Amino acid sequence: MQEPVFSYVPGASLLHRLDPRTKIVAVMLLGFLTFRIENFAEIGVLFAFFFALALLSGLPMRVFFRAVKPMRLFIIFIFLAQLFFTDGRALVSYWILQPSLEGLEIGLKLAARFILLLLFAALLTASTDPSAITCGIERMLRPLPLRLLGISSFELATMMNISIAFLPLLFERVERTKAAQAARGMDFVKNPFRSVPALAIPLLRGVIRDAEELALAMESRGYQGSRRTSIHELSMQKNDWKALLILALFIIFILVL
Amino acid sequence: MPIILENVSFSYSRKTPLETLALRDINLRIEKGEFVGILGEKGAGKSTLTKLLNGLLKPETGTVRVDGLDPSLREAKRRIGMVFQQAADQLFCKSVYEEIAFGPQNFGYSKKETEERVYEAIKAVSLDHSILSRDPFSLSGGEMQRVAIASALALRPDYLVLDEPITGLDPVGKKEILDALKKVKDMGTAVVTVTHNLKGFFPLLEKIVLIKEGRIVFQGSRENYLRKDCVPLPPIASIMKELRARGIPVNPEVFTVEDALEEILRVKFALEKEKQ
Repeated sequence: MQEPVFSYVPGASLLHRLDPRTKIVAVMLLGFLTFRIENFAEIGVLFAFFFALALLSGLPMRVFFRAVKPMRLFIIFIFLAQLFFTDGRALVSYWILQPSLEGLEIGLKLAARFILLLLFAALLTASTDPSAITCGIERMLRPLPLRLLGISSFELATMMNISIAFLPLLFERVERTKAAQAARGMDFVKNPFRSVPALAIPLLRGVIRDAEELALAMESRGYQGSRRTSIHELSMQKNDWKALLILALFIIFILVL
Repeated sequence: MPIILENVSFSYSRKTPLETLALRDINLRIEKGEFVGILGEKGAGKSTLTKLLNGLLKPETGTVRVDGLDPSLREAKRRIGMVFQQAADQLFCKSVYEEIAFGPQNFGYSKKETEERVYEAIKAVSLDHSILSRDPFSLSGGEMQRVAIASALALRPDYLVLDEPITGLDPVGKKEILDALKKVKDMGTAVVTVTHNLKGFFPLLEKIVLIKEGRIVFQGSRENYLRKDCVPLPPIASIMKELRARGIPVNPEVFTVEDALEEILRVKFALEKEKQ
C-alpha cells in the first residue's frame, strides 16, 4: 500500500507541542520568504533551517521527503522549461535545444523553491493533528467579517474537517471502482479516453450520494453550522511567542543580508 | 480445467506495522460448473479470496491458477467474471446496453459479436429487452445488480465470482438475483459467491467453503456441512436441528423450506401411525 502523503505522525517534540496557529503562520511566512530570496546562499540557509526544524521534530526525514515525491515530475518539468526556454549564454547547442546558463540558474532556483515549500508544508502537517490545523485556521479566520459573505468560520472548519476525514474513503472508493472495471477488461494504458469516464462517473455519483447522506445525518443530529465547541483548546504559550520571535528575527536577518 | 489455489497466503500492508494476515495456507479447487458458497464472518478473508481469484491481489506465497493460467493475464480475467457488492460502483454508461457492452468492447469483439453477447447476457439474468435503452441509474437495486451480473456474463466467463450479491436488496430483488444465478449455473458457468445470506443461497450451493480467521475450516458438500455441526446454519437447518434435539426424529439434512415441510409432515404421519 502507498504511504500517505502529508499525513500526521504523532510525537511529543517541541514542534508537536506548538500551537497550530503558530505553525500555520510560520509556514505562511516561510512560504513568503521562499519566494523573496535571491541567491543560492539564501536557499542553502533555508534548507539548513528546514533540516534544523526536521531534527527538532524527531521524525524520520522520509516523512517529509515523501511529500515531494508525487510532485517530482512537475518539478523536473518546470526545471527543464526554464533551462531550455530562457534566453542567455548557451551551454551547449544540440538540434533546436539550447540550454542556457541563465536558464540553469533560474530553473534550479525555482525547483529549490518548490521543494522548500513542500517540505515546510510537510513539516506542518506531520507535526500537527489535522483537526488541530482546521481548528487553528478557524480561530484565525474568526475575526474576519466572513458573515457578510454568508459563511461562518465554523462552517469552514467543519468543511475542512470533513474533507480530511473523507479522503481515505475516497481512495477506497477509487480502488473499488478500478477493480470492478478492470474485471471487465478495462485497460487504462491502452484506452485512457474510455477509462476516465468509467472511473469518474461512478466515483462522482458515489461521492455526491455520500455527501447527501452525511448532510442528512448531521442535520438530524442537530448540526446547524453555528458555533461549536472543539476538542482542541488552543492557547498560545510562551514557547509559541518565542518561536514566532525567532522566526521573525530569522526572516529579517535573511532579507536584510 | 479448474481454478486451483495451492498453499496461498496473503497479508495486507506487508512490511509495515499495520501488517495483517488475511489468508493462510489456502488449498482450494473450484471445478467448472460448480455452485460454490464462501462463508465466514466479517473480516475472515472472504473478499480477499475473491480478489486473489482474478488477480486483483497477488498471493504472498503459493500459487493461483485459472485453467492453468496466471490470474493476472487478460485471458484469465476474461474467464473469470467478477461482480462486486456495490453494483452502482461500476455503472457509468448512458444506457444498459452500453454498460453490458463495455466488457466485450474492451476485448475488441466486433459489433455483431458484442450485440449477440449483450442479448445473451440479459437473457441469462431474465431481464427484458426493453431495459437495454434505459439509464442504468434509473433501475431498482435488484435490476442494477442483474445488469452488473450481465455485464460480467457478456465476456462468457467460465467462472462467475460474486461478493455478497444479494446484501442490501429487498426480498424481490434477492429472489431475482438467486433465480438469475441458478440459471447461469444451469447454463454451465461455475458460480462462486461470498455470502452471509444462507437462507437464500443454501438451496443452491453444491459446495461450501467456510473460512475462519484466514483459514479454511471446512470445505465440502452441504450434507457434510450439516453433519459436521458447522456454523453459521441456515434458519431451516437450525429449526430441524432444534426439533431433533427436542425429541422429534426428523432428518436434519434438508436444504429448502419445501424439503423441511415434507420431512416434518412425513415424521408427523409416521408418529400418528405409531400411536394408532
